[in-house]
Amino acid sequence: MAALTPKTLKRTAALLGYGWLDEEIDRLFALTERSLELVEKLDALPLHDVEPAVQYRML
Amino acid sequence: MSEVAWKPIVELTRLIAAKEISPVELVQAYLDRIEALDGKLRAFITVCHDEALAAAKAAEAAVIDGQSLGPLHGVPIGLKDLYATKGTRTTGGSKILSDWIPDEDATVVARLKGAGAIVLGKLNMHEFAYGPEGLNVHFGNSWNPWDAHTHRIAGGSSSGSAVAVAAGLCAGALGSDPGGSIRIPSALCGLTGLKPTYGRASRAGVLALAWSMDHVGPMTRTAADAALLLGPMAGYDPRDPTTSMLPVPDYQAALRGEIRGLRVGLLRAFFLDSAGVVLRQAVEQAAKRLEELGARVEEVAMQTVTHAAGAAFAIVAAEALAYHEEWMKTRADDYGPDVRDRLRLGAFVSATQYLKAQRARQLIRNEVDRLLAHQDVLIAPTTPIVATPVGQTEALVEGDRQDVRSSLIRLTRPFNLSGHPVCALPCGFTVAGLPIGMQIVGRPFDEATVLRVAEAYQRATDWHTRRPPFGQEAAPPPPAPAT
Repeated sequence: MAALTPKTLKRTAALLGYGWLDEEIDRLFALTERSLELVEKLDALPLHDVEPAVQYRML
Repeated sequence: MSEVAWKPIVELTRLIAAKEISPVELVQAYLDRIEALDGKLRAFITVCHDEALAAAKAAEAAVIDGQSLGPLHGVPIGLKDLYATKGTRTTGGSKILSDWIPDEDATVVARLKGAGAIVLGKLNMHEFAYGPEGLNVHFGNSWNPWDAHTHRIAGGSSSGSAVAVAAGLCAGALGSDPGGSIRIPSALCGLTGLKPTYGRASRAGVLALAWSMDHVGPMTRTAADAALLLGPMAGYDPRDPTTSMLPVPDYQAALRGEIRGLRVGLLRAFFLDSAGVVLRQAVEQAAKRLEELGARVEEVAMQTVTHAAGAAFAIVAAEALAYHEEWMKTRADDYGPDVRDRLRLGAFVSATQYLKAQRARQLIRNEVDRLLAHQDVLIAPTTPIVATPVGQTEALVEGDRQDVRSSLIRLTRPFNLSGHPVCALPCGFTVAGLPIGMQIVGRPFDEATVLRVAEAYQRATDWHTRRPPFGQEAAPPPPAPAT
């Protein structure tokens, strides 16, 4: 995965329709980086045969 | 009359049915306390003064007429202000919904009213339930009544619900729990709070934070009261497709069982080991108390729990921004700064990361199920820290500086991911007089066993009977000596 930068955050937000200011992106950057590092650690789990807990079901 | 404000709901229902307390007097007693104390406590966003008194008069007439009474007849309760209430504004603790008046009740509200409960008002909360401190920039920060001098957090997001019950402003309340929001404020305010199994009680008409993580449940002084409120709340609701069709047991009857021979797993690694020494010792003492009552306690460990933070972040952040997307594009400035920033984080969670988190969640759920195949319940601290002063962002735990927000939700969110039922209840106090909480985790849809263990513990201890210093009347003078 490409390194996270404030620029990539701003571009991602813009693609989703959010025009956040540079200072707002800067404020979010450290927290986003820390949070996504936690998500990346999920790769250590044996998820190969595990289906997601949210599925569409015809009841 | 104010003394009646502290009585458990179980006792109030008996007194009302026996015509020893009038629902009108009871509602008025709480309204008087709200008037006197809530200016500082900030538990209520909206007080339903006239509606509550009208409902109380109808309840009183039904008692006098000898009509059949529901299990909560005449009991005044408060609702976290994210439960839709017909004709009464429902703000979600936000500026965005400050004028929203729903045209129907949330399912569980309708069911509680049907059981005889009287809604006293709508309770303060962290804006849109997105914060474990329970702070609110729009309606003011609730004051934890266990410290009359220092403004401490009540815990959140159901902060007003906890403060109202703890300070004797209502008999019981409803909270909601996407990551610990019933259990954290229950722990910090010395209450009993029940997060039922995901799917046990309907979320229809309840503002969402994260659809797949949200749970609704009662916050009360005792486990018996929680059981009494859960009964009418539980059960299938066609308005909420995630509710279960499993039958609802008689929770009151379940309380009368023994716990002798019950297997209790004590979660040490990650859970007890995260807590400050005073909290750890309080939970260890609670485990010993359960052993004295005949339970068999052994230490157990949960390996996947270290991944709960990552999984919960991806799921909550993505679902919360999806729910708020329209307002975040049109009314972003109307959110409080902390909630607006938390919502923004959801923009950076990809679909594959979200689904990876939902797959990790399945592993976490499987592991809790495996532990509970060998244990009847698990116990752990509810939080690793006690209530901190408002504005304090770090807490010292065994010499380590820890982020207050992360610490508060560390031990509760694993069971939002797993969906298991959990009851939080008080198990001690610090020397400064701040409550310490533990949580009891049970098998899916086995709230009965969780409540039975909690009630047995409360029969053997008195932590849940203590009252906070804030709002206490001066002790009555001793009787004059006989002459």
